[in-house]
Amino acid sequence: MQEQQNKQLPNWVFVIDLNTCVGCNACMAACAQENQTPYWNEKWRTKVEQAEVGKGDNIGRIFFPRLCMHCQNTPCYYACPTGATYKTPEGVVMVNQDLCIGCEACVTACPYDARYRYDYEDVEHNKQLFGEEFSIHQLPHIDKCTFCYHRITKGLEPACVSTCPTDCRMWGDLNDPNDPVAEIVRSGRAKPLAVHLGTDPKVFYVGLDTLPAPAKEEAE
Amino acid sequence: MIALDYSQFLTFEPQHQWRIGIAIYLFLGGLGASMGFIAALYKHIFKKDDPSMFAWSTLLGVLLVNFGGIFLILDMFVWESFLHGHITEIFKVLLAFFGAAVFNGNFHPWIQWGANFIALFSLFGTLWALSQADKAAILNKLGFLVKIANLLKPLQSVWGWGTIIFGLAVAAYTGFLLSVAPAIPAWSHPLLPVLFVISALSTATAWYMLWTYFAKGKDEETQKVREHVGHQVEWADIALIGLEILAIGAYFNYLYYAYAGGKYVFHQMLSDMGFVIGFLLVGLLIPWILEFIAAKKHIRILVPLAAILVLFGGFLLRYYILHYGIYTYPWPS
Repeated sequence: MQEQQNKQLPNWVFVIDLNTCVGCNACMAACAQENQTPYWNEKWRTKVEQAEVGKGDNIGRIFFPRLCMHCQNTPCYYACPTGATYKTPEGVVMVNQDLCIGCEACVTACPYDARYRYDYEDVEHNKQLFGEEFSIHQLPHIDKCTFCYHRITKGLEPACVSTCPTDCRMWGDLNDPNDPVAEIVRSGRAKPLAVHLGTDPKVFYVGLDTLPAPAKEEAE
Repeated sequence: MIALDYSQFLTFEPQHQWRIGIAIYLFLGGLGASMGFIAALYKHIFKKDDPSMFAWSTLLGVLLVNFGGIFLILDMFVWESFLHGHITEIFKVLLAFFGAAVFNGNFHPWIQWGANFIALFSLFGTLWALSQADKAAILNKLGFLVKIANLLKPLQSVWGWGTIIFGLAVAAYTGFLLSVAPAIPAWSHPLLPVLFVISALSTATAWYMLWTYFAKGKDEETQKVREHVGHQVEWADIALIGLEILAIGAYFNYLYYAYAGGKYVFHQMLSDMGFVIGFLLVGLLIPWILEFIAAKKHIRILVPLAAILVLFGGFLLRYYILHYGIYTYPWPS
């Protein structure tokens, strides 16, 4: 019975196409607004890294969006001593603010820089900005991306996906045989980061192996 | 962000979460626990009895471990919460202490194991030390402690074995705590717990070298045991430092060959004069040579000097391992 119920749950998957990210940072803004992240202290749940690659005339710029990978083999979950880090039945990795003691074991355990300290100063500032009643961060805690769990469980896309102007960020369900985003993952075109760590992420990248030519030459 | 040396598609970024406070915690944890471990080992395995030295060293060890724990707790939200008047935060720490994650079926967190090891070491260590209070200097002047000692004595070997087991567990935990950071090559290193245990035992033997050098036994019998223990711990420390040098060599060898991030950390650490001169030379090699000369040529004055350098080196090892906790992220910067 339990197995049947689990089969009906979505197996969410997040795909990022590196070929289409233009580095507009709209995803970061949307996330900061939706999840009240302390952008004033440069703390983000999702970030777009930028790098210049190549030399001389042969130069280019690449953009690399990143967020919590919602690993199925989850180092941060294993490190958390209070049970504050937990997984929803669908496998989304979340933080229970009430249980977090701020030991930061999860931050050091995360191989994807997906967690940060939402401290007292941030909580107070956030309450001033959004109002005490509407602040979703009432206590200091370690904060991270939740795949916008409050949205996806209502059939919406995560805020960053719905705001991305180039559809670089895509959202799908691996359990849906007709989902085009899931198909990208199933085809093998999209690959996870740092496979050797065995974390089994739910975020996949298209274009990891088609980096700009100057970058490839440099790496070689 | 640090410029890339080995691949354009890796980012090396120093960790800022665990700093000097955690280094103190790890150092005092290893030292204090090993002080109790060695004392109980001598009493119950080697059958040597020096109640004053063993009881006081174990009590001090328990104190050091718990004092170090304060630095871990202060590093959490507890201090901030206290300043902001949120006293409930302290109960959340207690939740962690008593293993809240276990109720979620999560037996992995090393902090939780460590908190429980520390609690058990403190309990067994204190009971074991108090079971000798009737024969230990100063403690035997306090009537109620003598009564407690008489109550505890029938189960002294139970308290002693608890001290041995949980003392070693605390020392090992200090290494395992760091080892669950897969993106930090200097921490997620298979040899780190072994290295920290060797170093913890070495610093604890340094403590006994200091004690046996400065504190004389109250009677001839005790002094004889103390001299014997002093002589043994000196040789034990020579062996431990030798092992530590081997472990450090193996640590860097693996770091260099295992992954690109490790190679980066390897170069960073070995080009830091604080690490090379402070730890490798002053905290490891020089005391090793001094101890060897002291043992072979019977130049006793070198013993306390070497012991102080060993303690200094023990702290520096943890400080630099934390300092070079550099993340290797799989994206370009």
